[in-house]
Amino acid sequence: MTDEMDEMEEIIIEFITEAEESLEKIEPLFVELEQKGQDRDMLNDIFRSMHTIKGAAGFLGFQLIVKVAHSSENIMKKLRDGEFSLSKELMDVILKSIDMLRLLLEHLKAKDGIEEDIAPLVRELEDALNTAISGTTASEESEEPVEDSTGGQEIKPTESETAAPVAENIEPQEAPEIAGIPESSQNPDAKTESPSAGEQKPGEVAQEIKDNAQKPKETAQNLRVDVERIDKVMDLAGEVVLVRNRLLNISNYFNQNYSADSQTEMLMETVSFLDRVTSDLQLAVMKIRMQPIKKVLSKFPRLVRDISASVNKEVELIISGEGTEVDKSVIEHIGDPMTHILRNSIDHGLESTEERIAKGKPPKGRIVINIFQKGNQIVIEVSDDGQGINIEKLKQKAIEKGLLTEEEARKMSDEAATDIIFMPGSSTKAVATELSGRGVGMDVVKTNISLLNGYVEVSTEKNAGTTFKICIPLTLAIIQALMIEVSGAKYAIPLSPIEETLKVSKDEIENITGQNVIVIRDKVCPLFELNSLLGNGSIGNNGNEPDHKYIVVIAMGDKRFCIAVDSLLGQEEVVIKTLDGIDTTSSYVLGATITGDGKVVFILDVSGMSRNIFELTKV
Amino acid sequence: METSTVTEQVLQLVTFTLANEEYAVDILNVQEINRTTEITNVPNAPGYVEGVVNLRGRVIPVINLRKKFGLPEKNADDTTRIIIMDIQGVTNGLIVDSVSEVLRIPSDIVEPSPPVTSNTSRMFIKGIAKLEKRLIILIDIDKLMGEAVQL
Repeated sequence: MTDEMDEMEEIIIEFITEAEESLEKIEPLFVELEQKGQDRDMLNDIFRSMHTIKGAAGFLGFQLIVKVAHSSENIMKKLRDGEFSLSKELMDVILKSIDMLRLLLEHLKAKDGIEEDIAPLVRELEDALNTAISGTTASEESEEPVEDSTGGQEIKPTESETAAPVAENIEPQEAPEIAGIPESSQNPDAKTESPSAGEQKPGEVAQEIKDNAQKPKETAQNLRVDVERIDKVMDLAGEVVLVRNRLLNISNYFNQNYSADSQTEMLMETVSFLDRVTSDLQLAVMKIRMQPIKKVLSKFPRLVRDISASVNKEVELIISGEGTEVDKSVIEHIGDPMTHILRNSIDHGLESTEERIAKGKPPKGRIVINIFQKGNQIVIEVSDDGQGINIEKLKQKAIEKGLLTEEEARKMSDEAATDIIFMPGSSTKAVATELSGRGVGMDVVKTNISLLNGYVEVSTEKNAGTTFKICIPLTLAIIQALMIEVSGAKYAIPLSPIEETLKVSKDEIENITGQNVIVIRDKVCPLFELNSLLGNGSIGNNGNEPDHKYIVVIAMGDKRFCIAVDSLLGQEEVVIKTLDGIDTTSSYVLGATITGDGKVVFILDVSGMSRNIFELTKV
Repeated sequence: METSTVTEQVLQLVTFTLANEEYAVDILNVQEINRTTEITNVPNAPGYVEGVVNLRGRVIPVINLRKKFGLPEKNADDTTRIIIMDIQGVTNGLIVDSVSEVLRIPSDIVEPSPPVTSNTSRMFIKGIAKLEKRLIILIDIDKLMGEAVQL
């Protein structure tokens, strides 16, 4: 009994995930349709996805979903068959129905039993359908009116049709797919529905069959796996990496001391084989967690459409590099910051259409999202061709709000000033709009991105536009790190923010008002002893300071600072281990790793250091 | 044996020494007992956190109980042990001078700690077990770790 319940539950969860995915897929298609005009293939795709949702929902008895899906499917079907063309009004109601479907799925997921009132929406959908039909009836050929007379006059029949024949149609067709049983010859039943729907149906049924015939193959190639299981495999792979590192160390020892023994050679060979396999394994496991960033991007066309409509601007969104694969955790966390940036760009960045025409720019604003992989990083660029950030205004605002003093503002370089927008409580727009300008948002962007060990930069040019550039490491579990040593203790510094390493002599270090600085290529850079940053005091080399120091130059966005260390040990791939049981928020420690010789080495949190350093120097 | 467990509760303890005094923790909290290994210092951490160790690939914080209890420090030697404890899902290590034995005692010989002790360790003491010739201080591990976790 309980088994059956579980099974049912599983099916429902499966349905929800699949339906959500379908909705995610069709939403951007719609926006694209609106731009491209009629595209039969695309309409077909949309129609089919909607139909699948309707089918599955009918089988599971989610009548509300069936009704909404059915009503918007009605419109889509006619769109697909070219009975009328897609208007903005139609689009609006269809998008609304997608929102409603999402909401309904949300309730299903939460099992809160809340029933949304879908009647107004269904009515709206039907009204839209009727208006669209009556608008085109006159010009339509003889084939159509037959359907029109049924679809056009009566609202009730459409509704009653929703519940009964739909459910009938669904069971034979969709049930096998859900239950995972290979589907075969049950389609004849579908024909019971086809007469009622007119000539269009047979074609559709045929499509359906084709669609379902392809399905089994697809399910065989894709597997839904619990994330926890993947994470477990990931952990184990991390362990294997550590063991490999230790083995490499040991085999090196044997190679040096017992190179005459033939067994040593065997050992070296075996270990180097293990080395290779481990690297491959690690990569393969990492790839499991990688997903195309498209998943996040698919909601943006709709978002941009809605935002731009609400502020009365015309915006064209161009996305490239959506196939770039990133770690699951990146997908989870990058959505919000990108949404904020897009909002900001549309609301603040782009000018109104009139303003753009006056400036001689194309009336339509343009936002480009470009994503690419650069070394070990994923770079996400969001650029607009708007007015650029008004630096003076920004500074003025910041002064008014007490974020800066006038003196600081005067001294601030333009590049540094653009960072003001990331300060909590700053907003350039004099009047806050519904979308942005509440003073929250951009600082969230910064925090979210630094959670991912990334950073964000802004570059702006007056009247040419603004570009936000987000850089995030590819994966969060294994990183490239520079191993360094200070008074006998080893530390790892993540490689991505390191700009360069230098060896400087003692007299190159200057002291300005108590702060050590060095000059690197005509730029003054604050210098900190790692030991004092870590609160270890200046242990050890008191008095006999070496003549030379090694300097690690860290760049976080446009902020740079240097860390002085005793020696640089080299680059290593390290597995990040979390520290349970120790609160590391104040200790500049990101995590720990275990080196080849089994020692624990801390990974330093340079973005935390940077935050603290620049907060302190600002005050 | 069975009748005794029904009528009176039996405590199973792991006892260890710190500065010539005998302490004990509930055996259920003890995961394992290790010899000392290399301990890595944690930057900006309070003094009693000796550092972290590598326990078969996991990184575990280690607390120096002498420092925690305000006792004079002592260098690690042959008898020094790290007791790995699992407390509410968090694994921690405790450095002690030596581990003595596993003990079963009836719970009614445990008395509340005398109110006169002014030692900082008093807040972590659950009670004192009076055995024939010795006194064993029972440590309230939840309190001790609850403190340690939030540095």
